[in-house]
Amino acid sequence: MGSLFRSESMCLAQLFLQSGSAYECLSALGEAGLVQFRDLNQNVSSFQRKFVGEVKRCEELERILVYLVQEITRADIPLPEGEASPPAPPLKQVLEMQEQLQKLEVELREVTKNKEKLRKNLLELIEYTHMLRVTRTFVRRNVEFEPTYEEFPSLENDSLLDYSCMHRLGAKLGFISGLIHQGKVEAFEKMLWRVCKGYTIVTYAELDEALEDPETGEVIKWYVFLISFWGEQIGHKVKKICDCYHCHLYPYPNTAEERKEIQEGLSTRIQDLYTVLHKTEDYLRQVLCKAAESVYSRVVQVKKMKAIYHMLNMCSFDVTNKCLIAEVWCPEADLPGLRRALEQGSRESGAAIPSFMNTIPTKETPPTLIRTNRFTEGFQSIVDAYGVGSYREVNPALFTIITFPFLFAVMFGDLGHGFVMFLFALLLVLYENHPRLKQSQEIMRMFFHGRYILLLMGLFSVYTGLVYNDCFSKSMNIFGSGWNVSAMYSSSHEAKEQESMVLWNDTVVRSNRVLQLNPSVPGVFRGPYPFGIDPIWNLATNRLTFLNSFKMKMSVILGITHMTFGVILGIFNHLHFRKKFNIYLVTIPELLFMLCIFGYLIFMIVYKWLIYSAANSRDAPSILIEFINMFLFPTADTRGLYTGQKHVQKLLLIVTALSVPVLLLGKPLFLLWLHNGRGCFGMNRSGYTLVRKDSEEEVSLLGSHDIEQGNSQGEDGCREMTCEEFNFGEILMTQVIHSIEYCLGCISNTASYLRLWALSLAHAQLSDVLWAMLLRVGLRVDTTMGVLLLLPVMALFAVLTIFILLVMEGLSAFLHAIRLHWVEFQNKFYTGAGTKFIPFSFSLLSSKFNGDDTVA
Amino acid sequence: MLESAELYFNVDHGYLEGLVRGCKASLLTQQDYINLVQCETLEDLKIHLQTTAYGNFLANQTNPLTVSKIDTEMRKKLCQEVSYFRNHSLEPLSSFFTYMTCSYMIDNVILLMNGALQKKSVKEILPKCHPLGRFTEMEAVNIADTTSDLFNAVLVETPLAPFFQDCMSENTLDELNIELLRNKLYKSYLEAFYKFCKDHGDVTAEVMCPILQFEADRRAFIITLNSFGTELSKEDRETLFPTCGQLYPEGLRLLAQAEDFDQMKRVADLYGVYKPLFEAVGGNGGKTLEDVFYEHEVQMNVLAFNRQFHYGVFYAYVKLKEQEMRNIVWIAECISQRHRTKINSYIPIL
Repeated sequence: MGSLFRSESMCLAQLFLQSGSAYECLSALGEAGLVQFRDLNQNVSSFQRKFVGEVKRCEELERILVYLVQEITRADIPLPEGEASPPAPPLKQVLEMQEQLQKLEVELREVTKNKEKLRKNLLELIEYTHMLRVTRTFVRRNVEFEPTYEEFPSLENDSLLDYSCMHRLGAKLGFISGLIHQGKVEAFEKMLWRVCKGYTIVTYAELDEALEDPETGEVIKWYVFLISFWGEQIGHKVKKICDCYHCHLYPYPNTAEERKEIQEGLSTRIQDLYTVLHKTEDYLRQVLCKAAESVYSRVVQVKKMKAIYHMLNMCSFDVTNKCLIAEVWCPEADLPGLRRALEQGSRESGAAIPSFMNTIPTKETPPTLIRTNRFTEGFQSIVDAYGVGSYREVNPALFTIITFPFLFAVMFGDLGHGFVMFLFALLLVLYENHPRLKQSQEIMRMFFHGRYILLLMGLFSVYTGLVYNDCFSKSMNIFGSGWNVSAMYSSSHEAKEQESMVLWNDTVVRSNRVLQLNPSVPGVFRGPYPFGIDPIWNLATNRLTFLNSFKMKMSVILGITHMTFGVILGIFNHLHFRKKFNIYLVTIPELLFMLCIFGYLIFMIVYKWLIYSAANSRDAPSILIEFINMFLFPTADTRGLYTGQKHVQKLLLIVTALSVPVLLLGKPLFLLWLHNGRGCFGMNRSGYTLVRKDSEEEVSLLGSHDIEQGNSQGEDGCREMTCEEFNFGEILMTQVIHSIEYCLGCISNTASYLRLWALSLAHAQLSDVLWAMLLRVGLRVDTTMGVLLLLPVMALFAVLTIFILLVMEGLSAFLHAIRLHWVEFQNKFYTGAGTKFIPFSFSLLSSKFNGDDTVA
Repeated sequence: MLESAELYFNVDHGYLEGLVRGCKASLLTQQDYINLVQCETLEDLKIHLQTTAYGNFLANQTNPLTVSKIDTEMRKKLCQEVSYFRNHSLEPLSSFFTYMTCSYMIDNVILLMNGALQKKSVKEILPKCHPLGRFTEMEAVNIADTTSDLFNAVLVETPLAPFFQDCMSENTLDELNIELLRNKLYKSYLEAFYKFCKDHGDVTAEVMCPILQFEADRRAFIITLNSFGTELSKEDRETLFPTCGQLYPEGLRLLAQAEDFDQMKRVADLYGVYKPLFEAVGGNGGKTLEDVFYEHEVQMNVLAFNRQFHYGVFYAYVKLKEQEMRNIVWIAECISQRHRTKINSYIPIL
């Protein structure tokens, strides 16, 4: 718990890494994940750094690995994953690994290239066979449709395409045939027509099978065409056009025998190609299988190596170039671990001189580290979403663990809904190690990360539900109601009593629609319900009036307590940062201001609850009026809650009024006084000198360190904070703004807590409406029909309950609870101006294959 | 168009305008250029470009890296972006895009014809063509022997067809004729584009017209400059000048008569816009006329982003991106040829 209250104390450490063992040391550090590196070469652009070559090599390896993974997944070979993460490869192995990978890549590329070539060949042959098959039907068709040619009557029964006939004509008849993309046919034909001016005959038919395009690998529809033309000139043009449209041209057999021959030849070649292709594929698969065994660990190894070089790039060299100097932030508690890691690294590399570290004092603000576990993680992230805490500041997450679910539950008070939410969260918690939950979708993952928050929210809702006595908008009569209706009847009382009280008899009950129970009648109210709200209120028509008064007052009390708590937490900050004067000059006036106004309001609320009973409640004054009158100094006589109220209120007002100028001017004036030679009041002096001495020590330490380092003066320039100049005007302005914000905030924030009441009211009403509109309708139908009707009604009720009341209302209550924490609670003490401690850790590298590494 | 056109602009083109503005914001900054100039090798350049919006567009390139590889990849990237814009555009923005690509198509056609003249195969030249101006019929360009052939057979169905009306001739296509054809095509293209923008009206006209006017005038100047000492007659020269610029008509007539650079300068001095440009030539850093024109163009294109609800941003973005690519190529050339003295004469995009 102590670690959650404040962030861990950090120290700046300098690591002297022998250049021989730097890599191993960083590898050990990365496995341990203890330190955050600072960039010492900020003004050096990324490609002028020391280890760019190595980073490039890693990138080259990564490229090969990506290629390998791509090929392996394409071949549908399972990638063995889940192996414990292998350490970064030792430097000696890197070269070997690189060679292996490069060899593998070359081999793979060659084999795949061969395979592609074979495939392409095969495809072409297949296309050719298809073409031959289809064009044969062209010829037949020609025969059928053009049986007579007027000029050549002798051809009547001959094939038009018989070559010998053409020779007789003296003109050379040429054929070009091939395949063309389906989409290009029309444009192709048009251009042919335009260029050749109709001296060609184009026949084409769609291929019924879709074939793969050898170039793009797309499966598309093709057209087979046959162009017949006269003359060589046109032939050239036709060829060019075919090229332009990327047609696949194949020689056209002139005679039937030739065609048959070619077809036979083709089929045997296709057979051959198939077998060769199979063999190549088998071989490829073997190679890939072998590669797949080690590829996962290789990927992890290369990622780690790259991360190490990125970190090394942040180090600076010392003058002798023999060792690297790194500056790291390290939690003080982890210093022994850091030393061990360095030792381990030096040992592994077998370096003669061990790498070592020393801590250096610094005035810079270290990063914030708050160690969390599964349970506290979610709450911490709620706080971090507002702002990462300043170094060593009080961490509100600790208190958020309880206050957040509680404030949520105040708005979400329903036993049934809370229980459903609790069950859901419990399921998530029980199965939190289930792999499917970890890799779930975005929304589900969100729920999963907040499972412990949900769990507590559910539990607290059950509790507030019990207090409100609400379970799916119905009340539960567990202990028996404290009210007794029969006592209101005149028959149960003696005649003497009957005269003094308004009692009921049969006619009264019959004639009135609404009757009021009178708690002052003996026997009607038999003492309060042991826990929560009396269930009888669920039947009352004035239930809302009663609950509103209760919930409103409750939210004001809760809100003021919450805010006061926040202000008190500020004291811990001031004590820790050795600014005691802030307590006297800021926190105490703030507290007085808050308590004298709103603390008094709470007092009045509680006082009125205690003093007035059913008997004298008619005389009770309104708190609102009393409260307003407190500021107006009423001349008219008011009844007042207690005697001497006027004087008490006056005193409180004076205290409030006095605390405002102290808040406004106290701190600036004090600082001004300190600055101008700090007068001679002995009281404050001791505290101040303590601060002063401490910082002087630090400064002197820093100075001696710099002298030791000698050369590092220039580099460390950034470490020395510029001495802040005293600017009275600025301090005054900040303080004035702060105090005005605080004083106004007290009022507006208190009003803001009324959302607790509003939302809980809305929730109760909504669930009531759902019950009245759905389930009650279902329950009213008579028994025979009712069973049939109740089933769908019940289902609808369940669905609406989950989606509207649990998810939607839950989200809105969640948001409001977050707001109450971020704005109303945390602005009382929390700065949230820190930076998060991000250690150099291999576990933060994404373990997925194609993810980017987070460290770089 | 109605004044309320701005009201409805976002309905059709708001998404694309948002996209293009985002793209413009990712152009290289001054700091990027300073870093690029410091690079020692092309590998360094690649590493630095990775940190910019280019991302790892060179990741799949095998070593060694060359300037032309960088250039091709950059062009490919631009082409992807523009085709995305184009595919998502509605009329009249899509015809605006067609007009934009026409200039690249003209360049490609001319390049292919020149190649055919030198008996190079189409496959050899294709990679050199600008991917933005690619179209299917392009590869068949070398079928034609004359301009009318070219028009009738190949280009009649492309967006280039309307620009051919002035340059139909039966002359065989030799080098000079091709050059003339290019300039004539460009002239009618620019005029048509200008007319399109003008007819569209609205902010688009206000932004695009000055840019196109400048483009036209620049062409006129360049044509004049290139025709000194060639056999091109003055009358022919005048027919090549696009007539949509500020120089039209008086300036063009004077330019047609100019015989050397000084005379040309004297013509430019008559115009407030061009006077300072010509004075900057040869000034500090030995700028050429081309550089000066580029600088002015960049300035105009950057200004186009100051107004909203118009198509000019798309044109301006492509032009700026092209300038950026020229800059990178220039820097890369300087690095690879170890010619560092001139490395700083890229044209900064403000």
